[in-house]
Amino acid sequence: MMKVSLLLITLLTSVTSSFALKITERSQIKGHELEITEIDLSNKGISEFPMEILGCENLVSLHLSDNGIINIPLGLKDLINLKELNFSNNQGISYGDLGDVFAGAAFRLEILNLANCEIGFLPQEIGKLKTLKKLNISGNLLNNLPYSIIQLSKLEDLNAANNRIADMSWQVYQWWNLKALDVSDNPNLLTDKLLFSLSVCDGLDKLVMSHLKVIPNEFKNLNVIDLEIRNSHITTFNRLENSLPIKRLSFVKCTFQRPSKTAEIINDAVRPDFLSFNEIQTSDLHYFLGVNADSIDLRNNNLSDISALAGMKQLKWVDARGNNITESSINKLKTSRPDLELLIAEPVMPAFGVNPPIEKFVKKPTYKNVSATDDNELVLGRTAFTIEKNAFLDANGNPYNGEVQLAYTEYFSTTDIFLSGITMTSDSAGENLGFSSAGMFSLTAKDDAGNELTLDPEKPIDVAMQSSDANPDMNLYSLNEQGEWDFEGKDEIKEPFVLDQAKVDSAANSAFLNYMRRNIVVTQNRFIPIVEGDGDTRSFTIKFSELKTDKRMPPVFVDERECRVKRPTFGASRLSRAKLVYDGPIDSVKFYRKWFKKIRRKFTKSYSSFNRNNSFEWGLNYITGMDLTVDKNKDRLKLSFMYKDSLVSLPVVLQSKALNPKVRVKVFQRFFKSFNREKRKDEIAIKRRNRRASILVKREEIEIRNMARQREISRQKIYYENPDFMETNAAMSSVTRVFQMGGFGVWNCDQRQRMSSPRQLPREFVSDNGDRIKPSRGATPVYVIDYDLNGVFSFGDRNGAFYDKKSARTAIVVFFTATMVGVYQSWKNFSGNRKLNSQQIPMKLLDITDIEMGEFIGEIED
Amino acid sequence: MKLLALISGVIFTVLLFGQKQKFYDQIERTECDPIELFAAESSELEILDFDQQYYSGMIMHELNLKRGLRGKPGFVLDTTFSRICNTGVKHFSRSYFSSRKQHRRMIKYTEFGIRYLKGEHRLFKAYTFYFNLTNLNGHSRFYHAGGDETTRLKLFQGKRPRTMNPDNENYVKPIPVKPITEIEFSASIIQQLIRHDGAVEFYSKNYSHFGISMRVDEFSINRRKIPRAYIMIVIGGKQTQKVPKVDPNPDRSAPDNIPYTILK
Repeated sequence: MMKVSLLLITLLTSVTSSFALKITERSQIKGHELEITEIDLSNKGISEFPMEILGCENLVSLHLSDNGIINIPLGLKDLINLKELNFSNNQGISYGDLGDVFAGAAFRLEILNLANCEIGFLPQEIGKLKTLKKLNISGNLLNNLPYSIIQLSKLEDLNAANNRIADMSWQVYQWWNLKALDVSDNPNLLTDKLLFSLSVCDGLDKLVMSHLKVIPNEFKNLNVIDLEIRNSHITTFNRLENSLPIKRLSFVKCTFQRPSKTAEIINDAVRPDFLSFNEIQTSDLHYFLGVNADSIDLRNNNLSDISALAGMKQLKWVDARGNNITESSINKLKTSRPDLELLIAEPVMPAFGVNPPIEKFVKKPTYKNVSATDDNELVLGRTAFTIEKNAFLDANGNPYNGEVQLAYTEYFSTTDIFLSGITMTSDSAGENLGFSSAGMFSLTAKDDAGNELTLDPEKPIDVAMQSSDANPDMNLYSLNEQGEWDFEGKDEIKEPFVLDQAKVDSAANSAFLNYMRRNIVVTQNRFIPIVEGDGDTRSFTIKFSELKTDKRMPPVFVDERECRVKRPTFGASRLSRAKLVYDGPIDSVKFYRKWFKKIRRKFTKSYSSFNRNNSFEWGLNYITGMDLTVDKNKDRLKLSFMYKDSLVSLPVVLQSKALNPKVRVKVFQRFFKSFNREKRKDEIAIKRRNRRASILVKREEIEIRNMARQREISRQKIYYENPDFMETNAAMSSVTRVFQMGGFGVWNCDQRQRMSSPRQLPREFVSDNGDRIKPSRGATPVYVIDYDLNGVFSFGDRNGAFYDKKSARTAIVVFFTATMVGVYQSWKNFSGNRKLNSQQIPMKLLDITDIEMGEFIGEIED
Repeated sequence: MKLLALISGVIFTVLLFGQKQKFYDQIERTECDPIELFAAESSELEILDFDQQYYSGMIMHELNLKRGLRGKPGFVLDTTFSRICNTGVKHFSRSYFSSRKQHRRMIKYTEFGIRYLKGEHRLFKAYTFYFNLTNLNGHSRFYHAGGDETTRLKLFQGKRPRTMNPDNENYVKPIPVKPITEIEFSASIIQQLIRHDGAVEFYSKNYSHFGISMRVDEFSINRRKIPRAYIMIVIGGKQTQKVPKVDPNPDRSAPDNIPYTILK
């Protein structure tokens, strides 16, 4: 019986695990509801939440970014397996709906993306998502964070960049697991307060800040691995020699009051491995070229001379792209430091024309016959064309009047671009740069005899291309006969879901966005444990000393910006005065004694900084919610408290002499009588305090909800009055790029881009089982498919190949022979038993002789 | 001199540690014997075939009877206390049963034992004493007759006679030393307990559980010594028995589903 049930469980598990389906089209959902685990309907022109999603009970990841969704159905809260939710770039998403879904959420969300949603406030109910690890609220209109956000104690990564947040220095104390914080482009942020708060927190890996006004003295205690400062005027850089080193330090668009002094401090006190200066004034930058670091990034600085880098003894790697560095300066540096890895220009090989890597996988065009003498409006794939009559010319330049066969091929996905073999590099002022594409297609025309036709330059074709990217910096290019890209001007971007704020009811909009929700700060006394040995019981005694916080503050203090609430601690104070003896297993006595001593040292050090500065008394508090309960079964007590975000529970007894049992019973009795009395005091005080504070919070919330509703109604009216919006509902994309094409051929919406962190391809290739792959003696062509960039780089040989290390999704395809291909996917971990070194790269080997196109694409993408 | 002090210090520490560890090992090895309750009878004690379980049950029965007469609930056997008593009786040195000086140390060991065995009754009273199993009092003269086959104890009252031959004219019939009866035995033990702490403690409601163990001193049998038994009794109860109902922490009991409630 047991075996049968085990077999059944195994069978069920294997069946369940096989249900892992990713859907990218709305039509594919029906019929596969139980199998679907991931839905990506980003940029599909959806204005109403697809209700069929609610039937996908096993859904783990839901991406609905770049759409026009406003209302969210309440049923979303019942998708219990949901871990990732992406609503980014859905402008004007409903505040009330978000709150309702979060309030009753049955799911345990880990990643939430609400970037660029034009949200003015986050709902209080966000505090219910206690398992949240990653939150992106960048690019919104937030001026405040709700009180309940402190309940996200598992939060590791918060991106709150590009908002209007004024203060979040209290909230950061409550996020004990925070590792990455981006608060850049919040011009009103009280950065000195925030830096002070962060200086006592530990465990922070990455911090991005901007608009620094004053760097406080406490900055010297900031413990961070990667620090990026943007758009700031640095007056002082308060680090001391005993401060912990910052391994990666970056300055973007910064100016320095005393660059020489700052450079000196960075050299002596910061001791970075990696230094980055982007868009810094050359006069300031010269002072930093002598700082010792392993790597330096000097992109886009207008530098002409880098010979001073020769003085940086530890330097191994320099990235100086985007400067005007003279040849003599480069030669001078190369002579003095021949070992230096120097990157002056983009490491991209120039490529021309169309060279498909695998001939048999070239995409077949879609054919459409039209009459040349008629006006034609046709939709081919994701592109709509409007062709005037008599727009076609034959080889002699005469108007063609017969039937025309149009051949259309589109290259929107990165893999399509790779298989097309169309060059994705372009020359810019003598430097080859890669292209990041927002959509590319090829359109050719032939007469009924199969001869090529050309377009009358007087009658260009109007094109409306549904694009994946709304980047306004992109340009229009066409491929000329020499196989080079010609600049064709700019296209017009139509985003019906993105509203012009001026059109929205200005009164509703202004009332909503200028409403200032009060920042709630809760303070309470701090407790520090005192541990002593106890000879009688061969254990240890615990007592707590109490640090009074905000002594003169009333229980509730309200002003225009802030509501400060003091949490009563009568019960905890009584408990702190009792001497408790640890009563756990004898083996664990040593461990807990050491642990208490360790945290005591830590507390004393951290709290000392608050004592010195009275204005920040409400800061860090490690121990909260102290309580003592009775375990009558085991005849002992249970001391419990929250240490950071985890509950600590210890078996204890009250200290009393074993020789007199009568006294022992009385000791317990008396203590609990007074302890209960104090706790009742707490209860009364909390009720009184909550009555005032909760009314305040609730009133604010109702007000915000009403204003948000008014704003939503106003926005929706505009949406439904907009013809583009109605059209887009039936379309496939939220972004349409409109332009005129003056000739047939390959047309592309692109932006020239640099790799953020170019790295040379490792020299050694390793197969799945850990064996070394020996390439053939000739050249080994390499294609780097960058999905983040939506671009492809081709290299004639592996020796000169580079890829972007910072790109989250890169596939590298290496042609070892004409039929043997190796594929590396950066988002997948090496499954072999062996540990690889930095000079080895794992490759999945594929024989492409008999492989189908779909199968090959699957091997690259999945 | 310093070296000597250091060496003696190290040896002392090792010995102390060893002693403590030995006690824990012994507790670990010892088990709790099941006890059945029997009423004490007027028959004599079987000193040579001393049935520890039977006599323990008998004493417990008599104790519960006494408590019952006062309207108090009877003791319940506690496995932790029994294991500690068994260990104490077997492994404590003789001085733990005779000297009041060792009382404090005995209490400490009992406390360690209860904690080590994760006992559920942390309020306790422990008694150790040895007990005369015969009708001889401490100052009476007696002798041991090894060749005698008429009695089991081979102990007789008075001065050893010059002749043991019944045909001899000087022959005096020896008076054998008799074991006490079960009733006497249980009554005396209860008296001992009351003598230690007074009746108030013994009949207190604070104690509800009980552990007992006894052992005949093998060095007091078959020689000119009064046969005696080492006895250890632990009575206990809950140290938290008078703790009033503890209110829940107001912060923790606050409803979590209302976002407006200020929790932290």
